[in-house]
Amino acid sequence: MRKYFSIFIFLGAVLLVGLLTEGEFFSARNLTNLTRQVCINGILSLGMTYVIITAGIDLSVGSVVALSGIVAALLQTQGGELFQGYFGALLSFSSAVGVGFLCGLFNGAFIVQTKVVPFIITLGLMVIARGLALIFSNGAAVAPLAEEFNFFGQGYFDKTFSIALVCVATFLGIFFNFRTHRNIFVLVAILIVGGVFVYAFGGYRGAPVPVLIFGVLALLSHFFLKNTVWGRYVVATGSNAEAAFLSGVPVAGITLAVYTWMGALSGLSGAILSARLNGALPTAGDLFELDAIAAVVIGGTRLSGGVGSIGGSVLGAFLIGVLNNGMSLLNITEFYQKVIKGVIIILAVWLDTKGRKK
Amino acid sequence: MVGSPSNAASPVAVEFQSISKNFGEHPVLNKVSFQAFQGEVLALMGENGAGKSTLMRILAGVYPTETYSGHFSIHGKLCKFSGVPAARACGIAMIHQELGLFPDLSVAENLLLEELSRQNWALGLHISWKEVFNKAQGFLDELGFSVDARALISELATGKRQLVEIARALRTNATVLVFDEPTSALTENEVQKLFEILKKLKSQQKTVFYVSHRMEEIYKTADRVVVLRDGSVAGVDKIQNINTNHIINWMVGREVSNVYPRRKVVEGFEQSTVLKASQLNLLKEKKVILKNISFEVKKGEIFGIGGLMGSGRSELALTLFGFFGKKSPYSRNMHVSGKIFFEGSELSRPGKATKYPERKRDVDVTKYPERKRDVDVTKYPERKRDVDATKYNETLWESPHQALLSKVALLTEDRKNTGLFLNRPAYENMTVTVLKKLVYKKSNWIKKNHEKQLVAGLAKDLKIHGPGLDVEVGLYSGGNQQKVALSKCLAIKPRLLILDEPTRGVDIGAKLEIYEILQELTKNGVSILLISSEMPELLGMSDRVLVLRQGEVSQIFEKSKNQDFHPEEIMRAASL
Repeated sequence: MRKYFSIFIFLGAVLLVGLLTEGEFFSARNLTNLTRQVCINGILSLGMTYVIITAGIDLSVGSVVALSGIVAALLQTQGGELFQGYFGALLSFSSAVGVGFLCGLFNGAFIVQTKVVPFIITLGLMVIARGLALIFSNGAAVAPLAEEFNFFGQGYFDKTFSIALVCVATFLGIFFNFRTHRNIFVLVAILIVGGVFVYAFGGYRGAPVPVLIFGVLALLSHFFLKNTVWGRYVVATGSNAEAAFLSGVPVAGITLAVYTWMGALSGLSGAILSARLNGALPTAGDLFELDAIAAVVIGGTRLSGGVGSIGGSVLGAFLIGVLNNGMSLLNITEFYQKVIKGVIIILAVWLDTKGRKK
Repeated sequence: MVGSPSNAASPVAVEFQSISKNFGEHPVLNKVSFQAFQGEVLALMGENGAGKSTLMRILAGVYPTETYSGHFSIHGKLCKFSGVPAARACGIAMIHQELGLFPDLSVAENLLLEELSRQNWALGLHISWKEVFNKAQGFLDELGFSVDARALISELATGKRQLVEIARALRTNATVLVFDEPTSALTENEVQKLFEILKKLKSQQKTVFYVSHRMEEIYKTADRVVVLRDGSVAGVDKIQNINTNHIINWMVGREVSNVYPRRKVVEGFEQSTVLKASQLNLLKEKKVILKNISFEVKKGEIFGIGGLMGSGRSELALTLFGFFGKKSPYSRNMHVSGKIFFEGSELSRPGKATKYPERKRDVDVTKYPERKRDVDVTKYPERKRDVDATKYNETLWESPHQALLSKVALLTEDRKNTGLFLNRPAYENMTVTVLKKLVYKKSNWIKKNHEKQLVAGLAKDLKIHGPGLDVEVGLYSGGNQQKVALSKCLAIKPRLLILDEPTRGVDIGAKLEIYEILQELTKNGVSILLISSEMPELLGMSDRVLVLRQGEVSQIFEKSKNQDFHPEEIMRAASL
């Protein structure tokens, strides 16, 4: 049971927020919004989980989000014919991902080559990328964007399609659970989560596009980490890099790949953020890295490396999302929100480690 | 079971009464009861994982009262410790196996830390360092330890640190002292000093618990022996009444006739050379670490490498394994030159090693031929050979990865830092070297069933007994950790196995099992390069012994038909 301690913390938070908002929190509309608010931090925490499992850290995330968002928005507004229409939107979107990819490659390559600790390298890129975002945008917002592009941040999938998708995912989850752990607890959790999503998407306007992207990426990240050779290598690298190298693990390659993956996800988040806001700000994404790190750590991933799970990080991202959402519903001003959020992050991790030790 | 007093007059100092403790669901101690008397050295023996260290940690307050059941008393007073300070106040001092010194403070500060902090620090702002150093130096000299009180701990060799640790425990004026394998890092000379100190402690009517694997030491120092097996007391007696066989029987629960299996290189194997190193050099910056090393290892042979600490034994192993190769991030400032022929063409035909089915039987990844056929770990010998036999015939491996591909495996000297992923489950540790062969066709997706079978086979062959293969390996006992590390090497079905101190910190039962495994391997044509600082092990196991001295080959000894090695000759070759 102690393995699922953070789930109880999460459920407690949900219940508390639900009570305080007198049920408004549980409306289909709000739940749909909640999932959409969560997905940017969620996507970032997927990458951050990998980075932290290798005993690293990536501080450049927020700045890369801003830089790639700016690039996508610039291509949209000033890119000319090529970047118009559906194809153009997709092209701008991919370019943002590409920018993030390159940033991640930069981080990874420098970490592997110079052996300076990731904290410093990514801190450097954090400043560089922020500077580039300001240079490219001349310090001003870049807007407005085409509707085709904004679909990636604001759009919804058809209700029936969304519900069908959730059902398929739920059945797959049950199937895999049955084939491997046969864990009743997980089974119930999958059913409840599936039910909540059906309720939220069916009761409002369907599944938001970014949520679907997040969902697919989360599943991929999870299975990749658990079931592939490379996933195992990531864990080995974080647990003991020298032993991993002596066991034939391509430690340098894995490190490079992990930071590049983190970068690409940051780029993706930047594009989604711009699409949602219908424009990009060079100052966007401030402190996103810290939210992602918080989500990962709440999810039980150890900063010392070698131990962690995608499921935990997703849960952590949702916990932070529930707090943000609940406090906004309760009209708590942002200044207080920050204080409360900080306290709750400390509490959650503390209670979790305490629960684990028992 | 309670032993009779060594001397009817001496009173009981420590009495354990049915102490039990579990780690999770895994019982470590099971109703342990015995007594220790004043003025005696009580040897506590047992295999790794038998519960010695756990019992001593309970005594020293590392595990507080509520974490175990049963109780113990000191000088008739029931003890309920809330932590280490409470135990210390009660007169218990423990010298840990894992050192607990502050590396960035001087020896004197470490020794006198508590006394310094007990001073009125407001007035003591002007600590007289001269006085502190003199006091510490005086104390060390009195004990006969040649350690500089001004040196930083981080500058000291492990042996010297151990001395400081011992000195610190003696400084506390404890009445009950626990020595947990105190001699593992000490030189002969220092060991003698320690024995004198033990005598003195005895004469002062103190009680000493002495945990060790080394029989000779036990005979020299102990008055009585308590042996634990699987968390229970297996035997207690006075040292005069027992011999080594008794102790081993108690420890492993069965008769042990011969420690080192009598073995012979299988007929025909001696003609083919598996590895030939020629003119190997290793430079670290400008410093010569290895110089002109040349030797050959035959098929099915155990080739021993001896030498003193710092003679370059481990560096030789790492060099052979490609650790300092071009593609290694650890090769900075290191310069390797020389050649390695591995099953080189002029020495043996590359195709020859196909007699593998034989070997498979005992290490046995392949007990499931049916299933295997299509997914197939077994197809590998075939496929692998034409890749590397041609490619790496006459070269240095550029990384451990390449060495592993050529079916060379290395068991490192320090399993905690370079061998294992301590916070990962045992099974992940065991399969990390062969993961690429455990996937669905050409994908990256691990076949979990397949992996499970491989792991179960290895665990069975190596007799790995831990709290479970999906439990993190850091929670395993030392012997079983070592077996997990070894199984990682055996998983690739090596043709050459490089073992650096394969039995360090391993209890006698596991040791014997490891020896048996090695013997089985050589029977099937695996060559073994054995590095060991334990002379009996090196001489007992090896067919030939190469002695290194300051990075150079001093001499290569051969075991002649009817004569064993002469330990004195080898020592002379190592130290002259």
